[in-house]
Amino acid sequence: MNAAIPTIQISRKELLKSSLLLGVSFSLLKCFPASNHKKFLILSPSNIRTLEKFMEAILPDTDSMPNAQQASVARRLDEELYFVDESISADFCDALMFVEWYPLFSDIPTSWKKFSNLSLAERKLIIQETCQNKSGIVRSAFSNIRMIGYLMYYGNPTTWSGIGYDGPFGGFPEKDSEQRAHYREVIQ
Amino acid sequence: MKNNIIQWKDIKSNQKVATQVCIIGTGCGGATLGAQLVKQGIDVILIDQGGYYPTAAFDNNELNMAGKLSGDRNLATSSDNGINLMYGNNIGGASVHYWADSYRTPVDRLQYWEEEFGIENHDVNRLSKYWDELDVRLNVHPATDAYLNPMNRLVEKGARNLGWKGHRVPQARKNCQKSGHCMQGCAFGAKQSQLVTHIEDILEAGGRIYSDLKAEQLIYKNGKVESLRSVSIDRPSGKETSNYVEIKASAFVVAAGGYGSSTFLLRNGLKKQLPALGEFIGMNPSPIVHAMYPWEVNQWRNIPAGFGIDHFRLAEYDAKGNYLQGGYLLMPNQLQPATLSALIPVVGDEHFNWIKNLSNLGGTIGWIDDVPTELGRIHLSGKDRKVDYKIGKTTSLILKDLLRKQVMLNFAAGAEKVLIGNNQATLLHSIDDLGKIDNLTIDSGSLMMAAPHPSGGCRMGKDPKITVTNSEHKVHGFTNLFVADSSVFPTGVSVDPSYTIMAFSYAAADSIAEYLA
Repeated sequence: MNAAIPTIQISRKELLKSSLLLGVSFSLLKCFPASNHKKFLILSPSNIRTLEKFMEAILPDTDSMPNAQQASVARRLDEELYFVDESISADFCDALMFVEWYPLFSDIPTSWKKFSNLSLAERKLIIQETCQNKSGIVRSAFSNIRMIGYLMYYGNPTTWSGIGYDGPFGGFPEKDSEQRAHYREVIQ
Repeated sequence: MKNNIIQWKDIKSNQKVATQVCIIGTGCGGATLGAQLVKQGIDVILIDQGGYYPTAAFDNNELNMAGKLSGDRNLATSSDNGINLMYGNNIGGASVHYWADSYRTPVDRLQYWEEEFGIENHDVNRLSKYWDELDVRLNVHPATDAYLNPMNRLVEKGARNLGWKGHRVPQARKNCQKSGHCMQGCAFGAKQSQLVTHIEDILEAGGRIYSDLKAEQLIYKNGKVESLRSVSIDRPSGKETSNYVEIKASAFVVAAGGYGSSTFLLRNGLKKQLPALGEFIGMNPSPIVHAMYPWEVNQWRNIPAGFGIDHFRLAEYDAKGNYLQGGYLLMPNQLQPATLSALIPVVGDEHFNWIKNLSNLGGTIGWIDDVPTELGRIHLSGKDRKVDYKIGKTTSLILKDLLRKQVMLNFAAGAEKVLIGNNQATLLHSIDDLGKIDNLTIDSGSLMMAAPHPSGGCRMGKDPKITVTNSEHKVHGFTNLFVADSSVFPTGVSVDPSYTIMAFSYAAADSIAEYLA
């Protein structure tokens, strides 16, 4: 990563404004669930859109690797978050929402649009710059989505041949836990 | 034997059971303790909120196994999101996903605990007898040549080139198949975790083990615990059911791990009575560096850490108390690709350029010896547990020195480039770039760190104002409530803590047997 990339800071005023906006938008989203609401247990349609646009910006620009949908990133993440402490899953959803609205309040030179409406180049720029942001809140939100996104992506077998990983030792078939079976049943 | 495991599907209504000793937790602390007690003919019940997954349920898949074995699927963090907290959530506890490193507690650390905190009867002479027994039961032995993967051999070579003292790491293994899946539980049952050793011993001797059962409320009067109320967890959904198990016992032991034991006692409202409860938390924060080698290192196979560097185990200070260097162990790293990719701090094509060369991608990890004056704390916010761990001034210096030494080590081993696991993604092309580390900001969240070795929260010692348990492992102010896990350690151990936990559990077993007698 280029050390010359300028870092930005979010001011307290900006943070308050964004928090207020996030609160309003959160309430609206709660009131108008999307049509495929039943299919996901934790991630909202808005969360999924933000996540997939985020993943598009951090995955390699090559046809040799699957995209986030092909690697079931949102689906597996929804499953993982369903089984962790509610405070963890809520924090992650809040982080996705923060990312979605962040471009409207940041100093990074992008269009005045929500994250998922930015161009690919603008999304890449904003992710690059926030990785080094001096604000712990901003850095933490973007960094956690990046890390967990990669965890889900490279945890999927469709990605392994592209990185030279020969798969879990012994080639055992996947042995589902009771929780995996339960999740599959509940999302039907 | 199998009938002695009571799982969620076996609890269909409220139950009352009785035993001599009820142990909360089945990891290195609880299982070792239980095995020692049943050996003396004492009846025990162990409970764990995690599931029972026998070795046959393991599939080596990274995400699947984290779901079966790891607390909050390895997604929990410290309060400021800066450090990833790792702990077990299954029968056998964290020992099922640990690396099998089995270090005897350094003598200097035992002496420090004795002199500084007044810990009695935990000296090296007593503990050595326990370790000798454990060596046999867990087949502990130094890693041999055949079990060093290329990354381990590179670390050994780098240390030799730099003149740093290292050692073959003592391993708890039998018939290891070199799968590289220690963190996924070992599908071959070769790693001698508690699941395949002391848990089996307990069941063979007639001890009872409840999985999927969460300890909730201690019922006590005048310093004596009469029973424990625990709630059954529906394993498929992970949710609490309406079925309770009330356990009556002569003695109760909290062995829920470094993050769990003080949390449980805090939720029982004991903070006012025990002001040190939840305080003095260590966690061995572990920064990593990635290194690209011109040859294959295949770090994801064979055993994780067969060779370790202890040259810098103790921090060095000058006569005025200024930090000079050290205060950590240095190890080869071993991660499967999902976790490894998450810890590469760049994105896009730059990220892919690292991960697509997975075979050549190696690196190291260091476990810092928590600074006694800069420890963290566990507290409650409503029902939620919060783990605070701020990076103090000396801790920051130690972390920076550790990064410096890791970079030196990887270049001495032949790395072409080194990438520090920090938010600034500091890239070094040669040892001449070492100065870049001097300018790094080391604060909360600036390094990607895991914390697999919690300690403290129920600190052992004489003074009830600054400790929670006495040298008999008994909680101050109680007659029959004990703690047996890493939460009693006054500070970090300075090496992997599992063998210290087990030896301390032997000592706890003696105290409990004496109490019962």
